[in-house]
Amino acid sequence: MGRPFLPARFAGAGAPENQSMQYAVGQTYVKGAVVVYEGGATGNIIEGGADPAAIVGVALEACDSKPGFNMNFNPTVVATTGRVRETTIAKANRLTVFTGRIVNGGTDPVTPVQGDVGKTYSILKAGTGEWTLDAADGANQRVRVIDIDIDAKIAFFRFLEANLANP
Amino acid sequence: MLTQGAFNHLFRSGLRKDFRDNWTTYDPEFPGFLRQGTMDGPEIEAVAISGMSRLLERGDLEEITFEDPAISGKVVGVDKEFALGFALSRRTVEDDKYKKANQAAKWLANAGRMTSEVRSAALLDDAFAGATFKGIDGLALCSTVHTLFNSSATMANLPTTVVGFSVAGVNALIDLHALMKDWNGDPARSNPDTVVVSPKYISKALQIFGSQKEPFTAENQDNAIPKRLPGLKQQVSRFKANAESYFLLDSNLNDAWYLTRRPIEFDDSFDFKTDAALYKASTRFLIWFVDFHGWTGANPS
Repeated sequence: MGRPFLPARFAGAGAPENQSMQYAVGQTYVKGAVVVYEGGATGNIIEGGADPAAIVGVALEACDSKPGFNMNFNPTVVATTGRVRETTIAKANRLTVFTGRIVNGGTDPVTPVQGDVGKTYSILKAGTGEWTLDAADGANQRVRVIDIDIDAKIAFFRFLEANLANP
Repeated sequence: MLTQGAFNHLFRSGLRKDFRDNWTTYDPEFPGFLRQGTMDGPEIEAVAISGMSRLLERGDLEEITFEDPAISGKVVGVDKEFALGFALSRRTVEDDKYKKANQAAKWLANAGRMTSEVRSAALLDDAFAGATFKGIDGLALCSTVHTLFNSSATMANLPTTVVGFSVAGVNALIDLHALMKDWNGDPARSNPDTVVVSPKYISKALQIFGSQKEPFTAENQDNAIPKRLPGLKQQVSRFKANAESYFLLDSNLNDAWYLTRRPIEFDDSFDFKTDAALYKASTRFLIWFVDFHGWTGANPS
């Protein structure tokens, strides 16, 4: 599994703006997934589809990973008191800077270059579930790169304001 | 954030000293119906086991029949964290002539205690629906059809026909205690020693459990309830939302718990940039039940 999206810089705060949010039943997203609101005004979040337009944020943990889920001998669990169907989401906003890797077709990861700074990228869910910046898609831009780390092969980015679910 | 303007009455003289902010509280109620303990992990799990219930008839020279004991499914509990903060500006503290704006410890402590009470009473309010709290058979605390994992029999701790808090209603619960069964479906002793009622039934409870003669009747016959339940403890629940529900419980069998993961902690600091005084309180606890035995309840409309 490659490097997922992670919040990296928080504009002086001790932690990114975050919220524990309820996800729709049946979700399978992993840490670093881009999440959006479920349709139908349920208030639930779901993993974004292709080129999500209104981005809520990035999941800091996988679905069904909190205490009370995936117990030993799970089929024998009769009842669970107190567990919550929520994951903590680092909210996409104007301030939080995330990191992620760039892919370009079969090249994963792409080594970023200085010229990437300031560029906008599309985002793509890789086959293993983690989200990446997509250099192969010249349209559908969702993030703007603000910095790079060549050794670690990661880009620092913010989500575009036009694509924030809660701008 | 409490700033100067929000509590500006306190900055000028002329107010009387009594701010009507002191209350005599009741003793904690939840220890009256929840057992208390601690948990040392984010999850706690429980199962029940039961041995064999019968010897089998054996013919002459016949081999012994071997049978297994039974184990139930598993119940899992996960604690919740509760926390609250309070902040006020340094100027507000300095300008407060009455030293009333900053009672963070008192307020937060009270909020913590009320949280424990309300969350505990939620178990009583959910005792008939089982929306949040489910026991080892996957049903609510009180049900007419509790399943017993080593028997095809069922057991009721909720009367089929529910009546209001009365001699008949209490008798119905006592009779259910007398019919309590173990996991094999065999009779199990349960002696209720506590009744949980709403404040509106305090006097009625005293009449039902204290009168030598049966109250609310003209026949003046003996009241059997105090004879069957001598020394019953009357626990008032002021925090449950349902004013009509009532319960009898056997504290020896009671398996409803208030488990502390982290006792309530208070902390304070100040913000270097703004001089705001910051206070917070947080705690982690779990309220759950595993075994429904020992409880009976009624939920009249």
